[in-house]
Amino acid sequence: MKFSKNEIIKSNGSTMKVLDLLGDGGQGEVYLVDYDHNKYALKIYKDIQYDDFKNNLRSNIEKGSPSDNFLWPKKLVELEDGNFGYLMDLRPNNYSSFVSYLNGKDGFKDRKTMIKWCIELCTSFKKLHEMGYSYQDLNDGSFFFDGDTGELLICDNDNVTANQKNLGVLGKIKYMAPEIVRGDALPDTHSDRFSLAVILFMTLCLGNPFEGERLKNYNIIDEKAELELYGTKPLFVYHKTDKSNRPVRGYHASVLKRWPTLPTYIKEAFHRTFVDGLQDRENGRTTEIEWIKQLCRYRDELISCPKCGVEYIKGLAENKPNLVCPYCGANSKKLSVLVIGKSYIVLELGKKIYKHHIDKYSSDYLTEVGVVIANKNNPSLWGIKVSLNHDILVKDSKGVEKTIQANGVIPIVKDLKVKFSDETIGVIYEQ
Amino acid sequence: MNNDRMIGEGIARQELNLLFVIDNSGSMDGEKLGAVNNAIRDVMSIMPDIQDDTSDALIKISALKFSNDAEWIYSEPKTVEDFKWTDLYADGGTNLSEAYSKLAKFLSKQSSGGKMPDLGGIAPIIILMTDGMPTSPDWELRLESLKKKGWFKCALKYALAIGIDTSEAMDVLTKFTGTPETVLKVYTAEALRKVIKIIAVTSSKVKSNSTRSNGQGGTAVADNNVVAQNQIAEELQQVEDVEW
Repeated sequence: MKFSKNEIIKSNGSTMKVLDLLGDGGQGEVYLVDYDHNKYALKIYKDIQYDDFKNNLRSNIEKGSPSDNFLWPKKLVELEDGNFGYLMDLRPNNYSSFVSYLNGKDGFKDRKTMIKWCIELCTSFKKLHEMGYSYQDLNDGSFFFDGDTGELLICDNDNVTANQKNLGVLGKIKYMAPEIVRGDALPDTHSDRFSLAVILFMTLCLGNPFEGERLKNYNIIDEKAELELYGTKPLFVYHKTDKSNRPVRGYHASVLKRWPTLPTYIKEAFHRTFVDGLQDRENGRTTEIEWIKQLCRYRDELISCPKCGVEYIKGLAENKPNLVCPYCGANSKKLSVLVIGKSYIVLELGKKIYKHHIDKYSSDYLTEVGVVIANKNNPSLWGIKVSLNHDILVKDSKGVEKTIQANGVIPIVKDLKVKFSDETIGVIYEQ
Repeated sequence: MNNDRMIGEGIARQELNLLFVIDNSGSMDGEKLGAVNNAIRDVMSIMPDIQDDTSDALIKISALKFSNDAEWIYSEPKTVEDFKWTDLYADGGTNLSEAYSKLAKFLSKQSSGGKMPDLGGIAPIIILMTDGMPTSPDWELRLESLKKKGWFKCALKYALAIGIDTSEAMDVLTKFTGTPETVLKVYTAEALRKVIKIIAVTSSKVKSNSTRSNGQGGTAVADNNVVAQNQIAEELQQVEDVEW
């Protein structure tokens, strides 16, 4: 421990008081400090890192955070002894670590909350990459979640550099793209994209995409085994034709349970990254925007079983649609759907409509513009409560038009046409 | 599936076995064994945090005591939550031979009668603690058998010489670890506590660290034993009354 409690740290004319030690990692120590009457986390590197690292940190601080999801470095702290570090905001208590989720200690309220977290994750990396950064070290320790709201926090942002520039970090073995494991390339946006798919697979399936029957080939998982499993001979556990690395019954129980519940388009997105993307690192990997679109589709199509409450998709576009709940066998609810362009939103209570649904030019997949509610006096009557900044026009099957106010409720009625804008018209169908 | 909060059983983790091999012969009586008991309790108080911080490894702990005979404290490796330490008492000789035999039997796959995982096991960590020469004559023979075990070969092995530094004793311990670099001479209870903690904690955390480039190219797969040894050596610099 470099500093003790109540010690005053001086940096470039400013001072901060050490309140506590928060963590001690491989790279450095993290302290709770009081600076300018606010509490922050201060990370101090253990060894004097080279100038490139410090300059990169300074440049990232100046350039700023891609979004609020990143606990981005806020202020460079340079100590008199030559060591340095940075100040960042504290992680609020309502966030759990992704590691605790993987260890089965904490989880998400429901599947749609988990999917929302995945969408936030992809949106954050889309923004990061758009700013010309690459993250370089995506792993289980970087992410936190609020299990009630699906909100995301990304920590450990100090290895972020301009794309195609690397300051030494290679990543964590099970999360690295195979070309990084083999030593054929250095981390960049393409390898970030591979690691992002690994994190998404772990979230949705609770397993590693390359750990299956092939584990049996190794007595001990040593460096040779790791090089083959994740570098020279990676084989996706759900490869369509080579089935020799399927998850092992009894050992990979979570993956075996969860994978079959995913819609085909999500499975395809994984297959693309983990099969085509092994060779074609630039064009074979599902991009953030593709993930966002597929995850939004998943969120739109999700319904909950009226009997057991489990969420699943009817998947009418699938080869084998679920006409009954795949968990308890109860008949699916009859629900209306709102079709807007390519979106197919199943209108169950609580289902949300997002900005991107009603504005095809929007890439805002998280701002809610409507939610399905029940009428207070007659709960069997449902409607979509909108929160817009303009009125909208609806037209029923008989051609009768009606204006719905910016904060009004669209009745959920068969064959109702909803004109959100000149370019966006939705239609309510019965499923 | 536990549908409440989508928790489920968690992810399949690789099993990391941490083994303490403890001399509780008569000469360990008093401060020495007291320090060992205290040190292991200290380690166990922080292991739950180490486990909570990693999804890469499921840490399993075992302890083998040896005096006139050798005996496992628990018949099965325990998770950090389930491993409860009961103080050891000193009595009898230093039957290192029996300890090596028990260890060899342990270091086989479960399907072959041992305690190591059939699937997804990683290199174990073995910490041997003793204060004297073995009283069993055939310990070298037993060590030869132990050295044939794949799990032993790949293990990260440390030996702590408690309050002794004769060349004969060092020789016994170097033969166990295979290198003098991981034989540590510890002179005080406080140093022992710190050393055990540093070895157990650092080596258990290694799998969770990101790899950094060595600047010379090559693969990104690190030899975890080498990484752990380097980190442990660095941490040990700060401990007084230790020599290696």
